[in-house]
Amino acid sequence: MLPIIAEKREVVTTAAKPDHAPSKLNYRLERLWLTRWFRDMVRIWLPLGALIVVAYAAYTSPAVRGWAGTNVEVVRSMVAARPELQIERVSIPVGSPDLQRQILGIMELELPVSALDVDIKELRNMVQGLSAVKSASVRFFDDGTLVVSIVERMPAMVWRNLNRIYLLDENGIKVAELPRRSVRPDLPLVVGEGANAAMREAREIYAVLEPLGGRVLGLVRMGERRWDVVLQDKVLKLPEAGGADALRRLVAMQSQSDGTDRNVLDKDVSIVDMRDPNRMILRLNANALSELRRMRDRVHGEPV
Amino acid sequence: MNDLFETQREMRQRREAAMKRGVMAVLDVGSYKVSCIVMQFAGDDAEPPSPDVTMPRMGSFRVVGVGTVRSRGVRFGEITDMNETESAIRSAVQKAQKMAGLRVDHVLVAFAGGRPRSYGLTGEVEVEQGEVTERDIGRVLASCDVPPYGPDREAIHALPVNFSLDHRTGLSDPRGQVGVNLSVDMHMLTLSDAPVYDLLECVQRCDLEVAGLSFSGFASGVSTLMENEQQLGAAIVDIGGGSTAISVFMRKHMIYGDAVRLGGDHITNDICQGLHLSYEDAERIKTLHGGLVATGSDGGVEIEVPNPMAQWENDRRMVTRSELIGVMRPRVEEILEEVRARLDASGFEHLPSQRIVLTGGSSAIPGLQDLAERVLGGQVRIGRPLRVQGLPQASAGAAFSSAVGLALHASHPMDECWDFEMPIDRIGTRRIKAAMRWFRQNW
Repeated sequence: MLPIIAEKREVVTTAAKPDHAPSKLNYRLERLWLTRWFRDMVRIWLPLGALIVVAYAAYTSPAVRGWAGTNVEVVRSMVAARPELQIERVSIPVGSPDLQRQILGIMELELPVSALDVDIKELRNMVQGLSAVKSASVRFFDDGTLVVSIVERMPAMVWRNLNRIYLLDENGIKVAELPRRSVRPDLPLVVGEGANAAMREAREIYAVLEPLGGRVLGLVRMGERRWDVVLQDKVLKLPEAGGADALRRLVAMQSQSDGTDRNVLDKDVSIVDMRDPNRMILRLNANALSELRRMRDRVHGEPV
Repeated sequence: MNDLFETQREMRQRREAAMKRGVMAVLDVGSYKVSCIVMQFAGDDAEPPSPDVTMPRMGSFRVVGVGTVRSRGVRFGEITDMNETESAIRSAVQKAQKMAGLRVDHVLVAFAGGRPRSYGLTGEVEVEQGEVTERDIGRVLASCDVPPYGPDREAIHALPVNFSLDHRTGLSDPRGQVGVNLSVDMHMLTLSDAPVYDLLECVQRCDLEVAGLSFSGFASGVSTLMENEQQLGAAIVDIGGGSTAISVFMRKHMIYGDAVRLGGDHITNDICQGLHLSYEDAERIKTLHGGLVATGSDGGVEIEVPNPMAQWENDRRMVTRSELIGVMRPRVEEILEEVRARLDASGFEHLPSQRIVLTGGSSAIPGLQDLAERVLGGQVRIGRPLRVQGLPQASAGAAFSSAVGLALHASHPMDECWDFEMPIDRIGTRRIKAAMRWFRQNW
């Protein structure tokens, strides 16, 4: 028989699974993350602040600084010991052997040495400081060669001053000191205080003196203002300004062979004074003077 | 009424603040889906995508994020389960925020439930000094005799539709004009307050501030009706999931709003019952094969429906399309007849133009236009919302017309009654009351 009251059955609820939705916390955190200032703070200012704090702490802590100091030293020496950085030889492609010796001497390198321990720029300045060097460049190549390329100063004249003899280049800069004049007989000689400062004029004068050849002994700078040309038996005193021009006139006179008998330099004259451009004064030797007097006496009949 | 004015004004201020900050969101809480659109206001430099595209420049904003999720806990556009709804809103907002990469604080909310009721109000005052000033407008708006709409209802729209000055009518902005008698026609829409407060509570639980509340029929009209339709008179019928919002526009103002508590969900339910299917299967068949006008060939179109009782693999269940149409059509007819009744009640037939625009998710049923023409009569078209910049194609359909409309409304807000200053004798204890309320809310 069926019971009147229905059996109590278990109700199967098939409640739909709820859709995915962000939790409240998730939602709020995401909104916070989308907030401009918060985002900037987390992404920029917090890391930056932490970095600054750490850097400052490291900077002020003696332990860290000591550690860093030793470690930096170690790393540096390790790097310096690399074979790629060793200077094994120094090459100076141009320059006289004497100059090369001089350069090696002032560089004071104990090879092999690491390129990191050498101040290449300082080396260059040292080399360039040499009087015989016009310009220099020092380069280190990775095959272990330190190349010192230099442009030498070419000696143009010999300068004797205060019992010392120097070589000067064309601009009057000392190139080297000479023990004797006879070491460089091929170069012209200038003498006297301040002669190196008037090299341009000296070169011009020497150019004018070309036709006189071997008769020229040298130029003497007088009182740092004008030149004397010393020939084997004469002295030509040039004016302060236009010395070369005065000399040019004299040489022109000398070379004229039109029978007017103006070749002064062949006369028995000890000094040709051209300091006053308007009149040339000649100082005669004793023989010439007495001969002059004798001739005048004969012509005019009266003693001078 | 003062209290209402205050809340609405606060919303207005929040909306302006949000516009100034440049980011605002629109939240459309429907029965079928919850969608959130994040807008960015970017000045007037909105460029069309290419020089040969001309875009309607409806507001200088750009949609930067859209999130749409299935709605839960909402029936007839009203909230039945606040926790479920809250989590749905959360997921929609989170999705949209993620897409936008922006945090949203202010939302405009569209609401379709709450049994809206429309009232036409009139008010009349004498102009104080020759010219009509803003103060006069405030006075005339305050002088409207508000009908007793009931203690449990709340006005959410109060739009001054028409101003008349002496014998001249049809003025939209009488300020500065000279006259003696100023009268106003105002359209007020009220809703049951409980559903509104539930919704606002849900939104506030998501840490969002409500910057405005709109009737979704109104929002759909803003986005879907053409300008001339809004001007000459048209009805917008937004057939949603749980309810169908109706509003009538005339001279660019909503002059009537109503809702039918029937929608696409009811069609699905009918399919569930008529064809013995689960709700999900019914929804799927409705959207894939649904229709309203049966033709001769439909009897031969067999649709396979899932059969949970199948014993072996060949045990299949087939339904012809005409059967499906036979289930769907009566319900749609019922909805449209309800709409017809509401439109008749509104005096829609007296408007100069009687264009009816159908929109909303359910307006996509094939054959709806034919059926609607038969039931509603006159010119019917299916409307899609205006294109706005940045809105993805997937969110530009008819189902999104109220969300898009709200976005457009936010960029070009209409003057509501509470935007005008109240006359001094009506304000009275307003400040003290506001302070009191602030203490109550925050302590």
